[in-house]
Amino acid sequence: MNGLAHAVRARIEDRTCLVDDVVKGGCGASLSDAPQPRVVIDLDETGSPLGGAQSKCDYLIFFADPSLVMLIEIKDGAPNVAKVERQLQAGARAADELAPRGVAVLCRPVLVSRALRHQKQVDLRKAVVRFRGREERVRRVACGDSLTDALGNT
Amino acid sequence: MTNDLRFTLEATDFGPLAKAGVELRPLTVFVGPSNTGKSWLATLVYALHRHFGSARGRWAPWEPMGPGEDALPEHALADLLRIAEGWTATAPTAVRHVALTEPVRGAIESHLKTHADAIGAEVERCFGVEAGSHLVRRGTASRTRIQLRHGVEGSSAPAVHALTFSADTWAFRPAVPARLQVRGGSHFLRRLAESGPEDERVRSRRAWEAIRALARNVLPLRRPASYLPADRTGLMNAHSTVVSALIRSATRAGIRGADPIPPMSGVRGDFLEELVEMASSGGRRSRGEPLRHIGERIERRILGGGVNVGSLPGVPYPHFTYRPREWKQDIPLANASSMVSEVAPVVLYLRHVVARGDLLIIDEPESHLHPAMQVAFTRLIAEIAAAGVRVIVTTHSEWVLEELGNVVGRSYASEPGDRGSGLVALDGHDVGVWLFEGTQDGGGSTVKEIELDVDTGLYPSGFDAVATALHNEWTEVAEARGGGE
Repeated sequence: MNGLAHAVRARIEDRTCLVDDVVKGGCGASLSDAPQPRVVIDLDETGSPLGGAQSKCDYLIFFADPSLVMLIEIKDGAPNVAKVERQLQAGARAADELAPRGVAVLCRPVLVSRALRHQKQVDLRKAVVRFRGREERVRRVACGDSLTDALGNT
Repeated sequence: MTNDLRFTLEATDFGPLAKAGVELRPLTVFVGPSNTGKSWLATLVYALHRHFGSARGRWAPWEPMGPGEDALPEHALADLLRIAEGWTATAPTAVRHVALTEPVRGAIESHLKTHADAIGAEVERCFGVEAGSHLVRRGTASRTRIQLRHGVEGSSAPAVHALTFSADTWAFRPAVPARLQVRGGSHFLRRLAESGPEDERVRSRRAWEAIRALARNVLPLRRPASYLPADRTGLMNAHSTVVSALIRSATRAGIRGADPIPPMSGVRGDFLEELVEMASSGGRRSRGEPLRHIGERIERRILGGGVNVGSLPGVPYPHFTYRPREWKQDIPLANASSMVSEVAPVVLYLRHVVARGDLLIIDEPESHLHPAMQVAFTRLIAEIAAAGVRVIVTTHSEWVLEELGNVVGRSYASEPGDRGSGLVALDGHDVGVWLFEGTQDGGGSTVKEIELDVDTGLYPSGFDAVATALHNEWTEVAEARGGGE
């Protein structure tokens, strides 16, 4: 049952990047009712599987049950959807490397943001992140809301 | 924009509202889920204006005469005479400031207190209820408290007027400032100054007239108010039926018992009455300069044609027509699209009724409008506010709020030329957006101000939660249809 979260944790050598909260700037999302066990990786921190300079999303969250990785990009201001898509795609590549092969892993790319204007909403509908041969649509969570809203049908 | 367009209204245990405190600005927007009290509070604002304000240039006929025929207390009369003499000795101006002594303030206060029942009657009429008990929040409260708060020149403390009511009892506690800004009233003060001491009865009567004239300046509710209720299409299309039924009933009075007339709220009744009088008076009803030019812009940009009110021979109620652009013939409004019927009253009110300084309340301006028209209409509503009309809008439309975000956002541009090809811009301080929220436990609605998020250009109205839920639902739909493989 602990398979995915345990396996990912084992692959992180520097535990500095393992965190409990998901927050950047003035915006964050709640994990209080999110399933356990889980591993939350801050991709901006030391020990992150992605280097410092490259485009990347903010967090990866691996859940054991359901066996799922959430790619989290947080935008405190008005997001550039194309950039968000690129950042989440970079996160998907990192998640692909961290998650063991042979384990079925669902992917949920998520934009956490304040309210979006209509055009941004339309742009976001077109955004797609590829993970292990599947195209995943980007889900939305409002700043302050629970990330479990974006788990969807698992 | 002028500060006298601002005041704060606070309501406790009023209808669906547990607690509400709203500062009314040149443009005030009430937003939130249905049945949280937006129109309720707007109706209260309207009712208070109807009581304290002038009705199209006439003072309200229901204004109480003061505390009976009692003579004004001696000190108050002496002080009032001094005020009257000083008034007549100085050159007239549109607005003057009068220093009030304690006895005169006491006389004004005692006069205003006698308004309580008349205020209650007007509030009940506007809501279409028979007693104040129908307006008290049901279940937990036994009394409603309304407070009206506004700044006073020369004082750091605001004036706070309180109206309370329970089942059938209304009480009004006014706050009379020591220094009063007076518009008009010179006639009554001059008459008092001219009255000699030989006829005490005349002088006493004139003294109370002067007190009433001064009292009209105590609350910031003097200007006429108009309320365009929701579902204007229905009312516009039904008005002839309603009016003819009333006339038919009236002409049979005395021949047979009066037909029971179903209750109608004052806001709807006043709306119909205004439309009827608009036709019978030949159009112009406004005391000031109407905003015809904005009405014409609405016709051009929204309606794509002109609206008119007239009468048909032998038909005792107004006939509303619409003529699409390039057409040579009018069509009855009832045959035009519901969008035209919905917006036509706004045009007619701007043409005939509403003037600068007045209050205009528009319930749900988005009704029957395509989103593009909602945006255009919102911009024109902002123009109405920019022209000096105090506007209150209730809305469920994110398009209205999104355009309002643009209107306010434009004011942040450093140069007027950067504000976008002459489009209207309103300062954020002149716009108030208030979010009405219900509670799960039935404890009544509360109200809070929401501020424009300058990064996103949106007001955090809660509409985005709906958009987010729809978006995430759609991701599930996309996944289910197999688009992800």
